[in-house]
Parts: sequence; C-alpha cells; structure tokens
Amino acid sequence: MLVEVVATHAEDTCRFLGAEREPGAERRRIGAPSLTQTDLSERSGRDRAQIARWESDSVQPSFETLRELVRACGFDLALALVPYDLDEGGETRLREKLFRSPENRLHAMLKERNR
Amino acid sequence: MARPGVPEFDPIGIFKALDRARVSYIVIGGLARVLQGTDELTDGVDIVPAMREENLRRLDLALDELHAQRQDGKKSRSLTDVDVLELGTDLGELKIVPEPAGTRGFDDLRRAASREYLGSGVRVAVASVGDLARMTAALGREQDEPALRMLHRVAEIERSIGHGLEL
Repeated sequence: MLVEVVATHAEDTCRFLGAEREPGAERRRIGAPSLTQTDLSERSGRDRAQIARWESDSVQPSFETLRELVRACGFDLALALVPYDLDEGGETRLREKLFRSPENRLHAMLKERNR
Repeated sequence: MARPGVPEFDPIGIFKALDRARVSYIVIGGLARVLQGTDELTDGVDIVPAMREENLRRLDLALDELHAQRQDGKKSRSLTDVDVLELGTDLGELKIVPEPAGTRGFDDLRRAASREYLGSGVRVAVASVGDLARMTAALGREQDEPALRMLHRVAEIERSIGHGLEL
C-alpha cells in the first residue's frame, strides 16, 4: 500500500525533479536541480520516451524505479509510517463531488458559501 | 449572503469578462481545486495569464471592464514588479499570478490543464490535479495542508476509477 501511495504521486515527483519537455526551456526549479527529460534520461539510464510517459501520467513507475530516478537526481526518498486517520465523512463527500461535473461542483460550492 | 460593501462573488461573470476580451489564462488556486473536486470554499478567482504582450493588453481591457483595483491601494496593474497582483473587482476578488510557486507559468501549466464547461456558455482552462498539488506544496503553508491532502486523495480516487479499481 505504501508503495502504491508513493507511486501514485510519481508524476508530481518527476515534475518536481524538473523533467521538462522542451530541451531549450528555462531551467529553474525550487529546491531541486533543473533537468530536461533528456538530462534525466542520461542520468538515470532510462529511455526519454518512458520519462515522457511518466510525466504525462499515462503510466506510473514502480516504487523501485521512482527511487532510482530520485537518486539519479542526487536525492533519496525518506519513507516513514505515520498514523492514518480516515475521515469517513470527508471521504464520502469527496467521492460524491468527483462524480459531479465541474459546473455542478462550482454551483454547489457557491450555494454552500452563500448559506 | 453578500456582506455590505463587498461585491457578490460571481466567478462566471469574471470568466465572461476575460473571455469577451479573448484573454488566454489558466485557473489555479482554491477555485481550480474546487473544480477538480476538493471539498472547500473560496472567495476569489486566481489565474495565470499567458505573458505575451497582446494577451496582457487584452487582460488589461478585461480588468477595465471589471473595474479592477489593486487591493493594496496602488494604481499600477503591471505584472512586472509583483509576484501576485491582488485585485478587487465588481464581481469579487481576482488574483493574477504570472509564475505560481513551483511552476514556470502559463506554458508549463497549459500542458496538463483541461478545459471545463462551467455553464452559461463559459469554458475555462483549469490546472491539473498534479499541477495544483505541485503549486500548493511549493507554497509550504500549513493552512494549505488539508487542501493538499484532498488533492492527493482526488488523484488516488481518479486513478482507481481510471484503472477500474476501487480503493
């Protein structure tokens, strides 16, 4: 489960690491070295097209691969078990909202706000 | 219920004004999170405009129509000397953010943004759940922790739905 959760955020992590689509793009990132997809490919030994697929969220890397990518960028993943408090009411509301359209979510929020 | 002296928040009206002026922008912030499915309330519209000169000229026209005024009382609406331009308008608060924390601005966010129909003929580009999480995390504010957790949960649920699994 822990592995699934970390892998779920692989796209965010790849973006945080600075993988960019445009080779000539400005290379500035907060708190991490900036890399193009090609840079990350060279550092990690992974195919650039595969990195692009991870970044576009069409597939997710395994936990082990994610850790390799992070280490190729000079970082490591620090994992820790923390208590998990399931907010069942919040979870139910979230699921209900996800089955609504954005238009419906907006109007529901405005109605709630004006209450 | 509108408070005395505070305009009724009308995001659709703000988007219509931006669209009439043909402004290119992406919705971010609390309203974008709500549109993506988080359970929170928000009082304003936050946008990242394309920074091309022509688009900024169009944005200025839309701001004129909305009678936008800086909330710090300064007159200039230039985006060159501020990280966030906070404006009061006839239809509620509007924040213009040229380069949100953790991103490179419009072109960076446009790649993953989706166009969503909001009714009344309005369709807007909304930042992706992943990009919203990236921006929210980059701000590093304790008050944003619940929103960040919800964004991660939204991503997990959407992924489980997309994969035909139930978490």
